[in-house]
Amino acid sequence: MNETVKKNESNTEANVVKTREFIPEIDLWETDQAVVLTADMPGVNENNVDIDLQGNTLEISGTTSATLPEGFTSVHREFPLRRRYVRQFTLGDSIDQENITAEMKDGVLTLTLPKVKDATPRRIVVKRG
Amino acid sequence: MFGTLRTSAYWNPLRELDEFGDNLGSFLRILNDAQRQTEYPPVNTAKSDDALLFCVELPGISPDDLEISVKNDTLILKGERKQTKLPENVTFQKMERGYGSFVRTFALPMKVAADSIDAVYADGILTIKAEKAPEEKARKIAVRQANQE
Repeated sequence: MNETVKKNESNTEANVVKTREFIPEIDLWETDQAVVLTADMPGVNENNVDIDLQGNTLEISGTTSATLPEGFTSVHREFPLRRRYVRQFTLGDSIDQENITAEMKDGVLTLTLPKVKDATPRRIVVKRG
Repeated sequence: MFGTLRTSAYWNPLRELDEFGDNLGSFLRILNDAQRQTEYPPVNTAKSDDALLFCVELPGISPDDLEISVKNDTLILKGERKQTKLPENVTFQKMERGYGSFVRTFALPMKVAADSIDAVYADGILTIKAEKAPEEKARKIAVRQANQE
């Protein structure tokens, strides 16, 4: 009988620590100078957010590791405590990848992606060869 | 919409078409959520022996735009999520984040001490803690020894 009890306990533990994945909602806009992305990741702070750039693929992700305070049991849950937000984007060639900046505030990640300054347009004179 | 689980983390063209038609603004989607049986903002409720705990998912909001009150046996959370100030000459590519005002009410299963309500906002999560009113807490009753005659 002791073995059955142990098995049940490990099952519930697995359920409790499971992390649900979500796609964060974003606002994306651009100006002449930059593209700005804001993503909702409630419960995430600057320590558990990741911004991964490989080639032209940008992946933003963040995890929450909230637990209920001591002595509290859950009554009604509308969102999971442990969440992982992840979303991928393809950057255009006009983005100056070296100067991407990121800020995390109140569970909102703001990424500023400056655009490459275009070379000054110049006229190319065609000579007769 | 807020926190719903989706099957893929990658760009889904069908979802793009769906959202294209929602250009009236995400505020209307907050109203639509009533049909999908999700209220905004999502709230987790928990309890301990002495208190109730409400955790609200509210990223990007200012505490000035929140109002928490207790009336009779109801806790009321009102607030407004304002859109971020945008610079001039902006072209939008996506606007999925909702904004607008919201109200949530909670019927309290017990009386709470109104001056014990503590609300903390951190990293986009608002945590409201309300302690049970003293009359709700179990009282220890001392037993007197009857006088022996």
